[in-house]
Amino acid sequence: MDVSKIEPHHLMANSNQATVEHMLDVVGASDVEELFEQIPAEHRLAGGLELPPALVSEADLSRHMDDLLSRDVKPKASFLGGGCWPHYVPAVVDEIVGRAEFLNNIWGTPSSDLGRTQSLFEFCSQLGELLELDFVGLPVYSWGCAAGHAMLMAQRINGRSEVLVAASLDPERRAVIETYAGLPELEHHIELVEVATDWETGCLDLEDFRSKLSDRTAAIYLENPSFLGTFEASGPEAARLAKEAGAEVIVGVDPIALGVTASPSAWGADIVVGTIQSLGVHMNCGGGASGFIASRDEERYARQYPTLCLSAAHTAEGDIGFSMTLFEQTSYGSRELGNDWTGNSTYLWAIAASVYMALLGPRGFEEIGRTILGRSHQAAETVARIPGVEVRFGDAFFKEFVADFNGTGKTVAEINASLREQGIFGGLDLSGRFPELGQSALICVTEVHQDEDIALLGEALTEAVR
Amino acid sequence: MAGPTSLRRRIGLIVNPIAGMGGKVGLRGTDGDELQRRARELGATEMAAERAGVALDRLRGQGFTLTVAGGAMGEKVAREHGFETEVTGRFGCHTSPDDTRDAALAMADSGVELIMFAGGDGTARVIRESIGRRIPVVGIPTGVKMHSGCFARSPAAAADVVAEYLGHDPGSVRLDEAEVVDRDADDPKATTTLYGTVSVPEARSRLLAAKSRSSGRDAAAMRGACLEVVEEMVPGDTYVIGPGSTMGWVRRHLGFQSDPLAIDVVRDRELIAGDVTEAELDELTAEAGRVHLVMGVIGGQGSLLGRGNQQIGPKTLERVDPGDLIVVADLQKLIELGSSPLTVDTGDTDIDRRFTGYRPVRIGRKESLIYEVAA
Amino acid sequence: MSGLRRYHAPVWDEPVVMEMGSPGRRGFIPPAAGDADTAGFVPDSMKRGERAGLPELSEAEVQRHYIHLAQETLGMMGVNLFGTCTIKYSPLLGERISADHIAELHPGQDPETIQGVLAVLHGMSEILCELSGMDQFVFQAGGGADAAYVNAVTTRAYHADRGELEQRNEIITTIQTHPCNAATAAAAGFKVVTLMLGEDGYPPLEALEAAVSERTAGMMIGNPDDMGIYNPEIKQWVDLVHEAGGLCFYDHANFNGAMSKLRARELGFDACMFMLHKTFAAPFGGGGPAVGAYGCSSELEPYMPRPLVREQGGSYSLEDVDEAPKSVGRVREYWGNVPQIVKAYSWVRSMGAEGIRFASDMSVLANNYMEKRLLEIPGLSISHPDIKSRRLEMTRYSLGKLQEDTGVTVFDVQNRMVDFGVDAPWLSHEPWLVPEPITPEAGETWPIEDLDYWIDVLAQVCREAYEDPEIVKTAPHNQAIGPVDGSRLDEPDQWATTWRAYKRKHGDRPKGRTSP
Repeated sequence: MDVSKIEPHHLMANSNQATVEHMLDVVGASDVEELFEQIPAEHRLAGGLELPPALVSEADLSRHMDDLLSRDVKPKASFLGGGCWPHYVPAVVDEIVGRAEFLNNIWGTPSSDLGRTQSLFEFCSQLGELLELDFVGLPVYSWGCAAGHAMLMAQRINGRSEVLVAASLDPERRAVIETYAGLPELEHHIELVEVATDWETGCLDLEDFRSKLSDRTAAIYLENPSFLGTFEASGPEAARLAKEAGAEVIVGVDPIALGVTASPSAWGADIVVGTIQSLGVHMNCGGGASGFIASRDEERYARQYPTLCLSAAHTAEGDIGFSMTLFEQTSYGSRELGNDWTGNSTYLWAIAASVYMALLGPRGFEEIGRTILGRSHQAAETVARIPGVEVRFGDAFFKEFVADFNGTGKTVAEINASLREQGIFGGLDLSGRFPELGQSALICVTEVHQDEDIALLGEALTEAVR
Repeated sequence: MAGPTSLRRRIGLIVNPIAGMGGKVGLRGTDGDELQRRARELGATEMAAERAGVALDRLRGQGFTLTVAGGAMGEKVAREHGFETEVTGRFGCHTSPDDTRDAALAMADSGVELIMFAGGDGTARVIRESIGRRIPVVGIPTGVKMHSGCFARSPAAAADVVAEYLGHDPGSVRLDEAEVVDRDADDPKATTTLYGTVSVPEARSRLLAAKSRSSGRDAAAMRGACLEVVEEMVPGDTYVIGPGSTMGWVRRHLGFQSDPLAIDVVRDRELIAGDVTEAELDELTAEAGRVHLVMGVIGGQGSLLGRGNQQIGPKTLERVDPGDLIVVADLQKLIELGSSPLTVDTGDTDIDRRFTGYRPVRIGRKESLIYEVAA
Repeated sequence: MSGLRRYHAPVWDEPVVMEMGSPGRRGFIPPAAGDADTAGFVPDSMKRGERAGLPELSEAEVQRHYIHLAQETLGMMGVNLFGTCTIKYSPLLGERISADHIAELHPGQDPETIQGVLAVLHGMSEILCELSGMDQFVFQAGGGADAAYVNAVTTRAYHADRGELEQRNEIITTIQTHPCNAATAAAAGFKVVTLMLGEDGYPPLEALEAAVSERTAGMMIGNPDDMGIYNPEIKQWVDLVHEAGGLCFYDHANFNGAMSKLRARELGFDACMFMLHKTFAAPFGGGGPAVGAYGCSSELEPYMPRPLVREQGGSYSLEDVDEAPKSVGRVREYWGNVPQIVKAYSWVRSMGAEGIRFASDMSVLANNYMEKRLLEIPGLSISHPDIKSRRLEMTRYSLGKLQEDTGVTVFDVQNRMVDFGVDAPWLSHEPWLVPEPITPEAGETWPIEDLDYWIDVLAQVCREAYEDPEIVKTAPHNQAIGPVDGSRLDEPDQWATTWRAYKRKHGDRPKGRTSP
């Protein structure tokens, strides 16, 4: 490095000549290169690096990024959901997660990190109220990861190795769960046993469920509402049967529904998992994914959490602070002896969800649930009126419904392409994912969709199927 | 707030005044009258009391009652450091192991919660013989040989262990088992011998050496590693189970227990011979097919196979393929060896050589550490 | 306390949100439900009985509550040299860009509507390929540990495809490699073989020779390690593992000192991992959302997770598992924490090749500068003092002597440093190889004034430990609350991860300063 030629960079405080010279002087080196003496010459990169040219001015960079990302198309309305949904994010949430103290942070001591740990504890506490469960771990990467971890928890609890999953499970989430289930050649592999879906109701086929439940079943994994939007009406019965068979009952839930629907814990779930994206986190092109694991506060479950767990505790003065509990069972505490593993997660989104739940309160959850029910059904009625289009599975659904286009003679791809031309993103294409449904799409309607959006969808769809 | 004496916590202190005298004059211990006499002749001074004093200074103001052995065995140093004490007996300056034994017993009988003792491995042996695992002990390292697991890293660390113990309600402190080992001071080539175990506060392990918050790992890891050993046992093969607290997990998984010093023989997950002698073992292994040796690491010096495990003699060792030597050891114990190798010293260099080199040590279920074994 | 800042954390005595509010208050009013009778849509067995026991607060109360909590968070508002995590300033432009362009994107959109964001992902993969020599990157992993998991499952898929998985069930790592490598390998079903360090501060080659066999599935290793020690025999290591039939994964968690200096692929590695939230200046978020960017050779590419961004003639598409049947599929839903990828891309663009080289130089220079000054502090020593060569971007120290002399532990030191506005330094990953470890990392963004201040604070705390240890042992004194007693939190009747559990186990909170 030629010190006389260095050009100070705005992201490197010490990149000025005076500081570099001073530091070199203190360390007793004539050139920075001497400090890399540990790396053998034959390990060193021979040529230079070829990277795109630097845009050191923020003004230039800002323009470049805007230009690049302006290639993305903004729709008039979008009806894409399926695990990543458009919900309104209150401005207060955005302000809090944008606070520098929270945005770029790492664990401190319980005292210096009081505010952040309290926010996380409040996330767990409020989610616990929605779920009516006393033990909530800090979040994990996603809903699918949460479900995968929960299956492994069940396997550790009862030593069994089969998990029953519904055929209607989201393929995206299922792919994650399959990775967590492992391969039969290695240790603690879980065999996923698919339970048929009743394609008339969109619910679990209870007969098939009964036939597949056995003393090999470590757990059953259900979701309510299901990926297809339907309420899993046979959930309580399935849970009862599973318990009789000695299996753990894991239920996945979208917590935005919990103002109008019972927590799965009320009808038999032992471990509840789900997403928190719907609680104040932008979709972020899938980067809003975030999951949780919760259960009754029993050692049987608590000692199997792979997540970091934060507990309220006291100071000598009687103040409340927050500190890690059950740390040793994580991979940080015990390397590979830990219960599976943890790392950085989605803790900022837990703060977002904490703020969101505090803003909504009990009535807010009830009302937003009713609004989503109302608007999604309003949309379903609109869609069902279009010639050749059918809405499947009756009206026991939340937020999402399956629009069946088989009667139109067109593929979902064709219909969505037409919608796109009209400035609308249609529902998720289910064809190929669920052959039983043929040309069907999962249409998502939330509180952000207004009457005119729904009307627009109706008009555009009518045009598209014509 | 200091309560009435009867409600105060009671901690015992026993000083072996001659412990550690040998070190400064080039002796490897002061066990026995002859070595003591030689140590004094060589000009050794009593450092045990001095070390105990360092620990006591650090415990001042902790609000407990100190119960001491009389005279030079604790009373004197406690008084010099300003402690009011209860005294359990009076001893002169020429103390014997019997005095240590009696003092420990008297303390345990009188409701002392924990005994601090200043001494070395010899002192630890005597205390173990006296009170076993009735109450926890903490060793203030003062002797020449401190390879037993009950010693803190330093006098200050010993005080910290006691302070932490006192910070919890009586009975709420989790206890660990620590091995008591010793070597014959007269024999420079002697290997470590295991004498049994004593009880120590769990906090002790944290302060013993490089140790983090995760002290709870050890037991779970050893339990898991030993379970795996049992699960992998090949039907028909013979397994010789070595001594020590870690090997206790193998025995528990197999459904039996024995003295920490015993060598047991197992086949088809059944105990076929317990606490065998060398001759019995030789006879058993001579008739056996494949013989596996399952061993822990004994003491703070990394002794793996040696003259300490006398029952496992050259005849048996010759029958064991080096790849069938299964070693289970706590990771922390290996870390504390500071990169110095595990040792085999059977007295037969040809046999020793067979077992040396880099070898896997089971440190948890499905987890091994590659570690050097040297002769 | 000459020369040190007068600092005190904000004290708000902020109640737990569950204790706040008044019945009927509202903080957010959802859009009206309309006239439809929605009750009939939920089956009776699924209806919620009582409303959730959430707090009832107005909007401004919620805003101020969480701002107070933000203010009661020290983090990077002071000086934070949390080693092994490469704490950097995250340029704020990235926040504006992601809010404007990424927030409302859906991953299921037709690729033709997201050509911009796909261009960024593709560009970032190209950049990381240039830095590592790998052939393709994927951003699905939600953090560094998740990327290690990606490697474990990709290795698993590779051997399974070759019919060798049952035989190759061991992953080799070292005692100083981040514990997530051992943990994710074990989670994927492998046995873990760990190598202990030798006298040179890295494991001897003989130990690796003893470890490799026909059972070896792969090796997962970091270099330099958290002590700042680089293993100069790493090429022979890779050769040995390859000869045994295993795959080699380079955990680049500690990349700051190595970036622009070497390429994982040129050293022979098959795969590597970068943390975009650390090395590439995307914000931490207090532990995510983060990105573990996983890259591998073209030989492993068929097995790595999908989807991948493909480019043809300036147009971008997504390749999913239907086109890559050998792929492990997903480790997490969708394609990664896209805002963080965009921020990392934007950081690389602001640095350029020259800036990245410069940053690497600066981080190593700053660490060596700190080392000079830190080693003057009584009670502090360097790990492996016999190794005289310069450490890279971080150095591990031990406060073992301080603890021995004074009884003050590293936890006490952490608690006291925060009294001066310096958040707790990182100690060491498990297991501790030196007593009372401490691992600061200067990085390239902190000014020398802050590095000096950090050192001065540690020196002050060590001085106090010798002169007045009680002040350190009872710290912190200048924070919103004193030290929290977590000693019994592993006991079922004590731990409380929710307010419901707290009320049940502890009843009303004690009358402390933070009582509402």
